[in-house]
Amino acid sequence: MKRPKNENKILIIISICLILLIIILTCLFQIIIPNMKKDETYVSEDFVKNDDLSLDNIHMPSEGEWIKLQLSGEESRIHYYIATFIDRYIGYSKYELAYDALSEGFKKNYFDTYEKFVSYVEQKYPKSTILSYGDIQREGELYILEVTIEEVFSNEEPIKQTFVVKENDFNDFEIAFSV
Amino acid sequence: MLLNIRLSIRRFWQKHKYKVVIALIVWLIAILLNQMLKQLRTPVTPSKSYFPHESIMDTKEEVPEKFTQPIEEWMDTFFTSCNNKNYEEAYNMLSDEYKNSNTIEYFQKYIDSIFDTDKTYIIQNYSNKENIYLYKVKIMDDILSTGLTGKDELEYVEEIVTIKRDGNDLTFSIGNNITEEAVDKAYENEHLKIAVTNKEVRYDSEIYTVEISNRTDYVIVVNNFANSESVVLDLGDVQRNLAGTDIDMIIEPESKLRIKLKFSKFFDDGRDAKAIKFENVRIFEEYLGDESDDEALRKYSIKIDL
Repeated sequence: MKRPKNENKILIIISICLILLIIILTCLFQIIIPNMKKDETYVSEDFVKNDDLSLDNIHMPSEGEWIKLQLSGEESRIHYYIATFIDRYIGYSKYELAYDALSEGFKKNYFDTYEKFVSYVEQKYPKSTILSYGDIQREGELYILEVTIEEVFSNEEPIKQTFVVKENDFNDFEIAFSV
Repeated sequence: MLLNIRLSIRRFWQKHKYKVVIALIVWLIAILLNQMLKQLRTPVTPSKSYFPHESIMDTKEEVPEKFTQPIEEWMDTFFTSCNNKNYEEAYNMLSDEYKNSNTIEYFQKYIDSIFDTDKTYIIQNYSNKENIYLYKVKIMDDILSTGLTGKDELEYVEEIVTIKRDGNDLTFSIGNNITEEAVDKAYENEHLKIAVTNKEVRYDSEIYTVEISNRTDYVIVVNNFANSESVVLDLGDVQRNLAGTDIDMIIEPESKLRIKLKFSKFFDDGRDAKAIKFENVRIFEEYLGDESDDEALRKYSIKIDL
């Protein structure tokens, strides 16, 4: 028996709907849910996409660094913050960012003006550095460690400084150091 | 035309209704699942190793979660008062037990000796036993404001805050004294009386106040420098000697000696003190310090159950 023409049309429409439904479900399970899991790692969008890296946003972590930061232990994260402070903020003359990273009490005690801080860092730190870290000591929410700062390709005596770091969130930290 | 379409839909529905219903159900389940997973999503925060309310000595007993915030608030108010030299306010936050044995003048001197400059503090639950929570508090300069400038290492004063829980009430004290209670235990005969009158529990020791009365015309030697192991605290499976070896307990005729005996014992070691033993009590006609035990008129071994 031949199927009526209209029924064929309806069947085609419903088949298309079903295919669309399957596509939606596939998207749901393959794209949306995995992305949601990914979202658990990507709490914040405070990083630079790998193809947007430039000197203007050198102070921000790249996408890869951001993921690595969230998977790192306490000690590695603190090392990262100190490297960010010295290499990225000061090394690339982003002094305002470096000044903002200082704890309020530390600013008040030693660098009550931005100019004082700039003058200090320009005198104190080389532009290209090699950092090495001593043992880290945790005191409550504070981390204390000695950092050796060497200038690349230089015979100058390395600088040894004690850093105190407080981590508020990923890539959100307050810093103080022995002056 | 419309009629044809309606008929076609009806026929299609009759033929495929189960498949369509199943497909709809699957779709709904998927949507619900998606919503549920969204609800379960939790923000990620940096992993930390600082847990101020987790005991570092023993995790058998924990500080109930509902008390962690009141404890933090108490610490904040207390140490802020100390920083601001509000002695009376800080003193009144302490337990009656503390206030009964320490005057506000003593407390003020103590606070002045620690809070000579603005200090911060770090708390760490140390040990918990029978609704008593011990916190070690490191009191130090605000190193996030100094960067440890001019210091080779972190300097701090460690204070023990004892928190006693009675139902939902918490009382706080400082100064290492965990508990203090009156004791009424004694041994006596016609020659002497030894009475234990008080017990102070500290984290690492127990201190007993003992009164020894000499009822004779002779000299009673309970302990002397040469034989400091003759007074012990019996803990059942183990005995503890007197802490300190230079304790003379020599009681002249018809007189009384009141002394505090300190024994090493950790608050959370799981043992209870059973007795104090005076194992070499001697009565001498005269005592110059170099007499041998054989010269004693009488010798006793006395045990006072606690």
